[in-house]
Amino acid sequence: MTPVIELSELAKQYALPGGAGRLTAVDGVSLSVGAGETYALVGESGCGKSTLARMAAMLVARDSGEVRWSGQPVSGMSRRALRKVRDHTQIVFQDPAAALSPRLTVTQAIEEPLHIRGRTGSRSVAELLDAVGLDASMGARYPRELSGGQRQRVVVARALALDPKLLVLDEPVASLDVSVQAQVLNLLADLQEAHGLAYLLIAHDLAVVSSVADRIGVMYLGRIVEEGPAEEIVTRPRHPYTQMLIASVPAFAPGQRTVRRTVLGDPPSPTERLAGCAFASRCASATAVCREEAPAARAVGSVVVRCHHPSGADEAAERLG
Amino acid sequence: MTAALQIENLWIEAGPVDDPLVLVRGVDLSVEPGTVVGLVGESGSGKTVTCMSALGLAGAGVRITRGSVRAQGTELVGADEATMRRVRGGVVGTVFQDPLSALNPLQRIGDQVAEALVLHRGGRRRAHRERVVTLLARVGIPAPEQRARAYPHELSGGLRQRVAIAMALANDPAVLVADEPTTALDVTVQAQVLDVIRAATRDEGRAALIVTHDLGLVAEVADRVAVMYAGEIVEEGAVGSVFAAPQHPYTRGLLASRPLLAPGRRRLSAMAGRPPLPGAWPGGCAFAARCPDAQTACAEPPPVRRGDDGWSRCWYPPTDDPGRDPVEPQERAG
Repeated sequence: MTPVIELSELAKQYALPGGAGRLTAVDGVSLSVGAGETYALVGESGCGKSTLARMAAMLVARDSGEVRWSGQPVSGMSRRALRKVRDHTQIVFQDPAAALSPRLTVTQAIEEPLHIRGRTGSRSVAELLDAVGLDASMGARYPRELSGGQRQRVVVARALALDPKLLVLDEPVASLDVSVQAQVLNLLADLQEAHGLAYLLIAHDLAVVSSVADRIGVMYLGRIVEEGPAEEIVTRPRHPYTQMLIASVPAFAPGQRTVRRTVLGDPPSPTERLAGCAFASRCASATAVCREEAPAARAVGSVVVRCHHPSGADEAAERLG
Repeated sequence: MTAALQIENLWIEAGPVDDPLVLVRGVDLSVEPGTVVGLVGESGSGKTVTCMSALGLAGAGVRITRGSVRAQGTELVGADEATMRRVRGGVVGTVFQDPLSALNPLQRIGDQVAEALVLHRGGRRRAHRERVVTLLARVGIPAPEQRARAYPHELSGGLRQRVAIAMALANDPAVLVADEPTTALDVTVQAQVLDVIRAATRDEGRAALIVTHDLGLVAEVADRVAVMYAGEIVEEGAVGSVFAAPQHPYTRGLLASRPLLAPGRRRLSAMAGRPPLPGAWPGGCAFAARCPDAQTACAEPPPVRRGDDGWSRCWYPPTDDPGRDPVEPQERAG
């Protein structure tokens, strides 16, 4: 089946102020998300995941690369077709308070995208509120009268107004209380099932990601360093960085405290281009080749990994040999 | 044995005196020497205002109306500013969520750590140079002699938080109070800073009160946990037993709703509703409206039930063994 969205070799650089060089935010990223599928991008701050999300939602122009919608490259599209693509792509940001105008009621906020397009939606505001688990009486309220979880539901309802096919979810629960996060994650899963939505989820919390994602892409300094089925990434991480991320998740069981002295350092600055593997400076298993040569993407089992020494590679080679 | 930090029946309010907004109602919490206590709650539960007010750091208009806070035996409620300054950075070290706001952007970090020493031990900054380097090394700052000359903006978030911890540890405090010490950091850096906090507390036998919304952090570093809801502690106990057999339905809900790192998409166990904000706390059990097991009795203030090593504030705790007798509800009038 043709994926809803396909990103190929997307790249984005930003010029630093005062001619201080260039910052590479996204460096040749390819991924695709199908209908009903959740693709989660994980990584630390500065890895480029939010820039990539905005490029997928066409809020940030790409320097190079291509975006395909239902198989069609967007670069050759007419304005009319592009508008449709934009309608079909909606984004939900981390902070719902910043995403809603304080001067619009909930009803006005949800109707706004339809007004801009000058058309009526397939569902009424009451139906949209119901879909996100809010009472119709909420429509008359202003954002300040709502809790964080309710605001995020309004943002989701607004995103649904234009009947999207893809939701880009940029840390959708990170600003919510723990007891409310699970509600919103369950709501998103229900909506996905009901409408066959494709989700591109940006998140830093691997525990959350493991419970909602079908595929996981791990980003480090603008590149996806490991990608594959979520179960495989969670149970058998191949890239040392993925292993580090997984080791950093609290065990959540007081009896299983782990000592993680192997976790070292911070990511290097994205303004420097390093020879070799960008992770080598923090990697316990780095060798000379890692510092000289950038690792190419290679398949290990069902995952693709950019590493000279991915774990499990020998065992896979043995099986093949 | 004197507790390192002892909070007794603490009531905190804000706003106009004739129409106050009650933020905390009757918190009892004891941090014994060598023990790390995690104080857990969601926004509006009163966890941060409890620890900030206890150290005299709450904002203007926030006041303690009743109760007592003692650090190594020194009463802090009503204490003068000189006493508070001697205690903070002395017997009590403090670490906050955002290390950038805890550091002076115009001063080299080594000088800032030295200043903490000068304030409590006297002498000149340069006299403490050796101890500064030792402190920076102890919190895992690489090349501490060089880094001591760096300004905060030259350091990453994780290194800044390490500097803040080094400052907190400068005068060898009996207790470390940390408010969301890893929340502002990236996940891999969170794990590193947790290791530093664990080394500075558990491994050195130093007491600590760690305020957090993150039960994972509690599982990693704390010996005991206190769960706050609507301005009260609803459950307190040893971390192992609270995680294995939570007595309060809110604790159970919190533990169940936190997704675990595990393979496979799954539905999360979500608690209904949301935590009530100050000013909107219902009478009786504040959790009753969200509680799957609420009954008519829950309209009344629940009794404190003591177990072997901990207690909870619930009418219907899950294990109703005969050894647990309900005790009288605590006095609630303000």
